Amino acid sequence: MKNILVIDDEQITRSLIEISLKVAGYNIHVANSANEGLELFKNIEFALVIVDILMPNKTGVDLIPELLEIKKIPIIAISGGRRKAFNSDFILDSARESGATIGLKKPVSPNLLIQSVQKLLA
Amino acid sequence: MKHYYKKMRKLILIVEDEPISAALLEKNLTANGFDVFCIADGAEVLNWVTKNQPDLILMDIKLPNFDGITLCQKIRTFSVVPVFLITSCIHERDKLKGLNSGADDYICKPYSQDEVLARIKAMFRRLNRFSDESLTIAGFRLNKDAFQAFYKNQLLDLTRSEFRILAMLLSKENKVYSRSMLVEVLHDEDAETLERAVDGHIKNIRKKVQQVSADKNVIKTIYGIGYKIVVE
Repeated sequence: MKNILVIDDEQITRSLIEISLKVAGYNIHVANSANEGLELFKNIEFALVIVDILMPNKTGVDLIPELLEIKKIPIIAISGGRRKAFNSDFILDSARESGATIGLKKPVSPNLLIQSVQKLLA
Repeated sequence: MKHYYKKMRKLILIVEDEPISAALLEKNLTANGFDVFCIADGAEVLNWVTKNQPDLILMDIKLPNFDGITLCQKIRTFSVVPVFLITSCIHERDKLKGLNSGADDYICKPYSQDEVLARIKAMFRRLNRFSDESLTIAGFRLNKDAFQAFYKNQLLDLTRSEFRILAMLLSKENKVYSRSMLVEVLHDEDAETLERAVDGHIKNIRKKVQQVSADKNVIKTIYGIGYKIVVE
């Protein structure tokens, strides 16, 4: 069973992703901050990482290059699609520029997430 | 009706052209019960502030079209809304320039979301300490949203600083406030002249009250200590 790491400071998003991907047959590890995620990433063999961009202390844009420096694996960046501040497309573009393989808007549809993970791990 | 709504949730304007910083601030403040609006272009700020009267503004100094300091100076010509400037500049000279432009606080990058939240909460606590809008004491009535003070139901033509000092004096019956305590509410004035300025502001308040009621001296000087409101 492949290991997937989910890094997001929002508990509800972590839980939704965890449930969706467990049903699809993946082994899920969760972290509620960039630093906690980084520690898990150093100690466990992961096939894919899902990273929230808007996290306090360290953003996904800062975290992704650090993860890729340790190991080159597929990374899915996720970000709030309903933010008033800026179109989240811009934020996901920044994530892709920092090394994310794809970007998905929150709330992430379980079907789209499973399809994306399956495609990246095929 | 707008004021009733604003009492429920404070409205914070974020002026920041860097999308991830703006979105992170928005996420943090929204999660902590604030209404938030974000503007990336300095040219849109004055119009928006005039129309929407935010309770606080968080503003990056480096912006397209207008810099934060110029904007802060312009906002101060028509509003007393607290303004926090955000910048990567760490020189004291830059901080003083920002504070002298009328800003109430200064946040240096990199900042933590917890720090920003704590500073905002502290500012609202400080404002609430001396600006209960329904306060009626010793013949005075204050409207903090409009920065208006009434004595015997007649509007006093007070400056912003005079209003803040009067509000502080009225916040607790019979309490004697030292000059240094009153200086605390004049946070946007030049620090060196603050204590001397307090005496001038008190003199002006007395004069303006006496225009309504000639024989009244509502602010008593407590020699060597400060001032208190006279409650009959």
